[in-house]
Amino acid sequence: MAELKKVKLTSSEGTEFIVDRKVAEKSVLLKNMLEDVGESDMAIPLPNVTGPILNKVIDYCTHHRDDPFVNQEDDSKKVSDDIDDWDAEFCKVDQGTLFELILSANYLDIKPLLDLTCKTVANMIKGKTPDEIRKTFNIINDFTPEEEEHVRKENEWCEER
Amino acid sequence: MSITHYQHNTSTKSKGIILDIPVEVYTDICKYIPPIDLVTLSLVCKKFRRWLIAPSNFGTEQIWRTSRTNFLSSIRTPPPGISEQCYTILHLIELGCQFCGAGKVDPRGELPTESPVKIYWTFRVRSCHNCLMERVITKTKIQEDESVLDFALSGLPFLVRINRPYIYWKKDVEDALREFESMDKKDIFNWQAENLLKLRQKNLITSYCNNVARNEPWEKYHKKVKLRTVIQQLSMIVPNDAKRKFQEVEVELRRCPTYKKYAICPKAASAMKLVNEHHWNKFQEIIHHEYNERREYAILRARQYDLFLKVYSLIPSKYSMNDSIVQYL
Repeated sequence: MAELKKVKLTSSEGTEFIVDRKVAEKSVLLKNMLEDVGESDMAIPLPNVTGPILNKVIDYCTHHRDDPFVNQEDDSKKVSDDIDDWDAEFCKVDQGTLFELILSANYLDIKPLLDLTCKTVANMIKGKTPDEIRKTFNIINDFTPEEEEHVRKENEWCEER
Repeated sequence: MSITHYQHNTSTKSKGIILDIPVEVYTDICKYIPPIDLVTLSLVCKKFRRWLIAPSNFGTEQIWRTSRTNFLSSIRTPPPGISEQCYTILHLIELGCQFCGAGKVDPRGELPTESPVKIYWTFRVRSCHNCLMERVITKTKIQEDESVLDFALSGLPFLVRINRPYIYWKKDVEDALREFESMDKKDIFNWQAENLLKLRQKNLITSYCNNVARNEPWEKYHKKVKLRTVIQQLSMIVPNDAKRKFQEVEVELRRCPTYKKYAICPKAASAMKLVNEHHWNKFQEIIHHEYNERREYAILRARQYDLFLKVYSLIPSKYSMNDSIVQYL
């Protein structure tokens, strides 16, 4: 049966991962690829994903393997506090990993993982002051004091007036 | 392209990883951020600012549209001709006056008590009365200078006030007069016609924004529901020593001064639209506190009355009600 089929994936350093086809198909990119290629023992190279990140992604896909496929156009659920415990725990990683997860989810086209990681970042931004956001994400304030004065005035928002 | 970018970045682990993410991912993140936080984000650094403010940029419009529909459901879709970001940021009265900052609400601070700013859609500004007055000029004032022709102002938006002269935005007037001066006089009719056309478009947007942009019945209903929920929740948790019915406890709660103020006094009631979840909790706390104060006072009064009855019962019946000591009691 197709469900028992295994798929080989290779991360950027060449580490090989063997996963169930069902798990791999959580990624729309891989799903399409597998459909196009058909049955094959060849490992799929993922030069844009490192081993540790691929490992995390597989963890996620394995945990959510039985979730129903969510329609991409369904934007009705956009609140960011509906993260369940397992997912919240999953996102307790350093910022570098979190952003790599976002990029991998984007590249592999795993919508629920992308949503989850984006929500996590959004929660890190909400309710903060500009300074707190800069501190959280290590961003340097590149406004000069005059520019800062100017941007606070909100003059640019309605320029087309 | 974004992918090579990211690989380079992971190897260096440089500062501010968030700045290196591709725009489409940034758009994805912003979908989960309320408009008020998007404004904060635009003040963080130049890159974010460019992403969030870019006029007539599809991605920017999309971010704001999604954020508005997700978090400000009472605000209707903007009419064509005004950008999502302009439309939404003007609606954020909790940011206070855009010129002096009066009436800015601290999202984690005290309960707002008044709402001094208004949105003047005619001029596309959110301003307190003072700052508006500094930046406008009355028609009477303009006409004091007799060289100015009415004609030059015909394309400018103005605000109509009952029994007072029309007001124009000072900068608009200056720009229009300058343009008028420098123009070849034979083009003047075209210029005027064009401006009138633009004005008509602007006026359409303004009247839409003034009249239908906010779903006011919904907001009123929302406020009513919120107030009722606060009272209901409190009626479950406050001590109920007189074994009153829930309804009676609720009546008691509604008698608390802060509740009355927000439910009745128009100034405070208008500030209700500035109240966020944090403030609602604060509101509930205040009412809770006031209820307890009233209750303690009631207990005190009850004890005094008790005492009075005891003393009164000690008075021998031969003393009449007219006796001075009885009267003192």
